[in-house]
Amino acid sequence: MDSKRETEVRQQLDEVVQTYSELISSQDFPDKWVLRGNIHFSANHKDYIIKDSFNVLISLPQNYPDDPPRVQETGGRIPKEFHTNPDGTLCLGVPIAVRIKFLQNPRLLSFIEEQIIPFLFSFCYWQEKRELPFGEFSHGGKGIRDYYKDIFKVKDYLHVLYLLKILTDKSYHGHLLCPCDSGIILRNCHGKQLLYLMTFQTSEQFFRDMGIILNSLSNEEKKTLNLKAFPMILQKLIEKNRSLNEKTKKYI
Amino acid sequence: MIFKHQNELKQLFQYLAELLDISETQYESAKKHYEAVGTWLNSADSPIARYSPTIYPQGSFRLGTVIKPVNDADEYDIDLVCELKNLSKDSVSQKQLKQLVGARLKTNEQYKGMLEEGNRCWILNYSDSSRFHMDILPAIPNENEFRLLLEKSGYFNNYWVANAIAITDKSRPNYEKIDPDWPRNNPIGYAEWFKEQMKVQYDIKQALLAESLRISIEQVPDYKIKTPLQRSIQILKRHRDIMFAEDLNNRPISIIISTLAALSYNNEPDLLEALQNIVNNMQKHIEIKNSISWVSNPVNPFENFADKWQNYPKQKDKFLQWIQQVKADIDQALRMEDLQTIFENLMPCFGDRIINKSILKLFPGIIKPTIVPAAKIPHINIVNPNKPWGA
Repeated sequence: MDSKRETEVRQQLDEVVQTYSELISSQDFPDKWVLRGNIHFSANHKDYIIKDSFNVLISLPQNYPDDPPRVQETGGRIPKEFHTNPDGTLCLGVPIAVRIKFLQNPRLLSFIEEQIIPFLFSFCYWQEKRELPFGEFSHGGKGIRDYYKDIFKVKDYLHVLYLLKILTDKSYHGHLLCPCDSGIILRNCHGKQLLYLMTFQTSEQFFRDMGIILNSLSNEEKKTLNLKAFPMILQKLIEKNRSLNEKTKKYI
Repeated sequence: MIFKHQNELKQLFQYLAELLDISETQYESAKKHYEAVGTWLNSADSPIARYSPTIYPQGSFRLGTVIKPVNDADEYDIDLVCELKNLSKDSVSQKQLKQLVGARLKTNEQYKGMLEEGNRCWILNYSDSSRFHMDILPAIPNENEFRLLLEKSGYFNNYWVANAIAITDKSRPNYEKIDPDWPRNNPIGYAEWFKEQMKVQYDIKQALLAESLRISIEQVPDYKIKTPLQRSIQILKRHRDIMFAEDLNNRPISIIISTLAALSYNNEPDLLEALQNIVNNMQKHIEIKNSISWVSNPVNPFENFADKWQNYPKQKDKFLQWIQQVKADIDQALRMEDLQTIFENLMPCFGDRIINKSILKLFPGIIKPTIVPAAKIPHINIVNPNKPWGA
């Protein structure tokens, strides 16, 4: 970490600790900054108010603030089944959604208030009412697919895949027809949105999203897909019908 | 020297090690799975049954020093040997042996889809829910040849030689030839040597368990006995996993940790004392031979567990640095006055969740919620939130 970045990280940590006095910042290792302790908050969504406190560990990745922080609930209150990643971190949202929200305002304090507290709020609400105040996305590829369907405002997952493919192989040509079958050229259809999304994720990250979606398709859905349009490695994955284990995830 | 919170720390480390261990259910499940592999290799219609294949665990699973991965998503790896007792180097090449075992595994509908080939072993990837994979190392007996080799080189201590094996390695030039020069190994011998280093405590624990379970000493299963040496190694491995989470290339390997810890252990009955003694003495057991760092395999004097340090001196530096860090972390915890600060300081070393879990269990009254004046609790108005998701 260069010194400029270190100063920025320290400032951000201080800012958080001033507001959330039960959080302690610590440099666990030379390149590893974390916040641990309680987030004691009060929050409302419309008229519903929740006051609570959660024990958390917020870790900054090495390339922070290019990537958003990761959060674990460390007090043992949130069960694994409640929107938790396999590595134990909280699933604050679909990865691209978390990135966009974070990069629009890349400060730790905003991250806590815009993403962590709403998540904790959701959990408390769910514990009381057995429903989620802001809804939820399905786990895995289906959730990612639904997210893109939402933001692209398309109904067909095939359209999502073809739009994502443009982001993955960087083949944006504004004068070509938009793959959403609107009959309009890309520039006047989903083009602006694609260019906007490109500023938040690398093509490798879109590749990963696409891989996870492809992997979650049912056999029926796979049949309707023109597999040849997708990169070899994904084709193989789909043909073999193998789940994404840790090893294959590294390629994606 | 008596420290203020010595007793609390003793309890904490003891419980921490218990949390790090795999559960009896996981142990039984792994055992059931590898015994099933053995049955498959040995069944009447198996072409290799006539070579009397035997499956047995090696490595941390055999030593009783397995720990849970830091990351819930990571898998345990269970190392097994598959020894074909009635085969010798005169009749097969390394490749033929490997393929004999592989071919039989492939005829099983279940194993077929899980099988992967490594340099030295066959890997069975079990489904996500069981969270482990097995490395199966094809082998043949090598006792006589190894005994001769030791004698020729002037080593007359061949106490551990009985279970020496020869194994295969795809990267060797003679892999496909019938040739007497095979890679050597002796996991049972190593495990017996390891057990010998903690014999006093092992026997005491075994006798106590036998008494409390009202069974004979022979009936006490190995895995139920955990000596302070095994517990210390589990704690050290956890500290290592966390410290080197982002630096896997320089991560100290388990066999070096286990060997140096076993050499340092003086059968202390107390875990904290054992741990302190081990970290203070591990370094002394690294030998220098012809200006090369050596951590001898105690059952094979030709093998240097630290052979990689020669080409990657940074690994040695990192190893020494790590020992110093463990020492400093334990010393600091002992010296501090305030229990809550001690726990906060141990979190970066061993993991937040596992320390919190231990505190909740052992000292539920310790962490008192700090009372923050209501006016100081920040209030958030949630607009346009994300919808939670799950990978």
